[in-house]
Amino acid sequence: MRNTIILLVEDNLQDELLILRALNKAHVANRIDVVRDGQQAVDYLFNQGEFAQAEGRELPVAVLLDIGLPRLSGLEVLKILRADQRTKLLPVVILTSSDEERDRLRSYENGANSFVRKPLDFAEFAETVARLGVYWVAINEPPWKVR
Amino acid sequence: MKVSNRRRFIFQVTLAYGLLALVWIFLSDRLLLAFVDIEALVRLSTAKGIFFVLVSAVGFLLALYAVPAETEATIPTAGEGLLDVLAVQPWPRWLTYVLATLLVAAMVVVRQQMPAGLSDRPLLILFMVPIVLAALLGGFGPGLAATLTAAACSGYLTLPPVNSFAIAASHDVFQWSLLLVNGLVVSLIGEAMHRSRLREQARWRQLDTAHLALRRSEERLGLFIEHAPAALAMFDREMRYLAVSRRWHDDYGLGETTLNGQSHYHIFPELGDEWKAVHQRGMAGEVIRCDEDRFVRADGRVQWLRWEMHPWHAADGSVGGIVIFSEDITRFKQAEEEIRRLNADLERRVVERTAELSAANRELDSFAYAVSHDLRAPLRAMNGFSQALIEDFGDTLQGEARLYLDQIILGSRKMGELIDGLLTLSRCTRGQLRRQEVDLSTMAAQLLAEMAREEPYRRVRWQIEPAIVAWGDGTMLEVALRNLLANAWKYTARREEANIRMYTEEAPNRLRVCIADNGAGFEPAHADKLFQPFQRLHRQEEFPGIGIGLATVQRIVHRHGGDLTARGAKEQGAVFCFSLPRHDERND
Repeated sequence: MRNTIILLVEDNLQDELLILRALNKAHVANRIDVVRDGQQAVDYLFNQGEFAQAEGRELPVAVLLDIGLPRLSGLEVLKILRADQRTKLLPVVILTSSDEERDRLRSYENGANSFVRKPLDFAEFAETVARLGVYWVAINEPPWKVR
Repeated sequence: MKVSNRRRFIFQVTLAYGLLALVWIFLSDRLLLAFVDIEALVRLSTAKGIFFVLVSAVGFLLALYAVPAETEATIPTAGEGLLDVLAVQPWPRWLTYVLATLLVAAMVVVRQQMPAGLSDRPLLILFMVPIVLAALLGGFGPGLAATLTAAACSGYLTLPPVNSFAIAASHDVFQWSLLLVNGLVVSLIGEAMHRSRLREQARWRQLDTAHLALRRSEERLGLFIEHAPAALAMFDREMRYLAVSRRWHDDYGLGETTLNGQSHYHIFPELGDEWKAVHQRGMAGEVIRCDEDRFVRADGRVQWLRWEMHPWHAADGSVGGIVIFSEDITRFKQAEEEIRRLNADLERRVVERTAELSAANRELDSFAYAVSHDLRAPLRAMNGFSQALIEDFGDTLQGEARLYLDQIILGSRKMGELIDGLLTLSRCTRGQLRRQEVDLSTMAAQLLAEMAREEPYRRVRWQIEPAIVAWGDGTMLEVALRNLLANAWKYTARREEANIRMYTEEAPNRLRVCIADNGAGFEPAHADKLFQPFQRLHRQEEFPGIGIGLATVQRIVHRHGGDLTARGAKEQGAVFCFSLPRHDERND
């Protein structure tokens, strides 16, 4: 379990830093791969484009996906993942600043496993991220068994 | 014309009199030549004068009676006029008898004055003159009277033996009898003539009356048509005008043109073959009507007409022509056109405005969306890294560094609240308004209970009128109510005994709900700022807040078609009342 990967899709460097710090503080020791936009996320998960050489790498245990992303938005990424046999069941957590009802609804409609709003307050934010990491890495049983 | 008729008559009578008088003077004076005896001459002359005066008096009487009235158009000549008078007898019948007797008497005088050579013979033929005159004037009666008088006078005075009714000579008896028979016959003929003239006169009078009645009825009909408050025209088979109303002139701008007798196609050269065909159908007996017809006039003007065409039938049952009734509906049509145009314009503008509005709404939407995402991220960074600094390097922070970091955290938190408020404000009027029955009483009780749970140390009493049911969007009304109650809750914080009341007030066709508190109130002078976003009437350290609540409430109430008012005074509490339209079944 410890060697499983979490994929963080986040274009905001500051948020990335805060998330990584919070996960670190929560002792989530998993490898955390970070990509910066929607297209990169898709390429990463399907081993294509700039990630074509990474053949053989296993799928992450969970994807933390922002909505407001360059190139492909989080919702578009989610649609692509759900349309593909390989990633249809991949746990995807939407982690976003938005508290818009329609974002939430569309996320669930497109098959998000969870929708989490990034709290503004740091303490809350850190706690939320820590819980997320622990839950998806340690508590949640992924759809397939890790080799 | 009528006056000249009368004058002509008078002139003719005068002329006739002059001629007759001249002839009489010459003839009668010639007659006097037969007399040698001066005395007899004088007597005869006197008798002649009396006879002439009598005759001319009768003539004048007749002539004056026969003078036609100023207004009468008929009776063109003096002769006819006189004969008419003779026939109709404008004088009483007894006068005719007197006249007959007088004429005979005059003739007796003349006879008696005859010179010896002449008076030897009975000369009964002379008496035929008064008899004929009397018979002509009065018919049988006066004729007979004249005959008998003449017979009596001649029997007594003229026929020997004189001064006796006996008649000696048998040829005198024969002559005398002949006078009687002639007189009788003349009287009968006179009567017959008299009667036939009377009959003729009566027939003429009847005809005259009928003619007059016809003319009057025609005049009345003409007036009726002329002044009919509609455009009416009557045509013969050749489409010539027979009668036309004033309104027809006015409607078609024909001015004072005399139309009767003129051809319709001459008056309206713009009438084409299709119209002629329609008229022909009318002539064939068809009734045709059209509720709306475009009539392009010769000058290019367009007239809109509603018309109806009926054939009219002559006495023998054949179609004598057509009657056209028309109504100028141009103005009505123009108004209709104008309304249509205005409506189309209005619709177009509504579509435009709606498009503009939805574009503006979309813009606002994306703006709010951007705000919620993009403004929050840097704040999170400020807040987060300050916090991280405190957590990771709290021990090594010197002097007031810790305090400053706290201020950064507070500032970012405050800005976060402002952003949230802004989003609430923009969201509260977005989306569709889903009206339903909303129990405000229950909702208020729940909200207050919630506040009480969050701040258990507060002592607040509330009083809510039961069963206040509004017709509106449940989610929006909850936001509004929450804001108003939260304000009441917040601004009574410094009261020992806080009181919050919710009740309804009377308002026509509206639900008026008031929320009153005994809190800090506000200065009425600044009341206009209450509903403006980010405007506050209290300092932050007195009562915290961002000044978005009432602006939100107002937008929600306005969105429902209602209004929001506030009254209050410094430290005297505040009352906020909002009114909402009642549920109207027709608007569903």
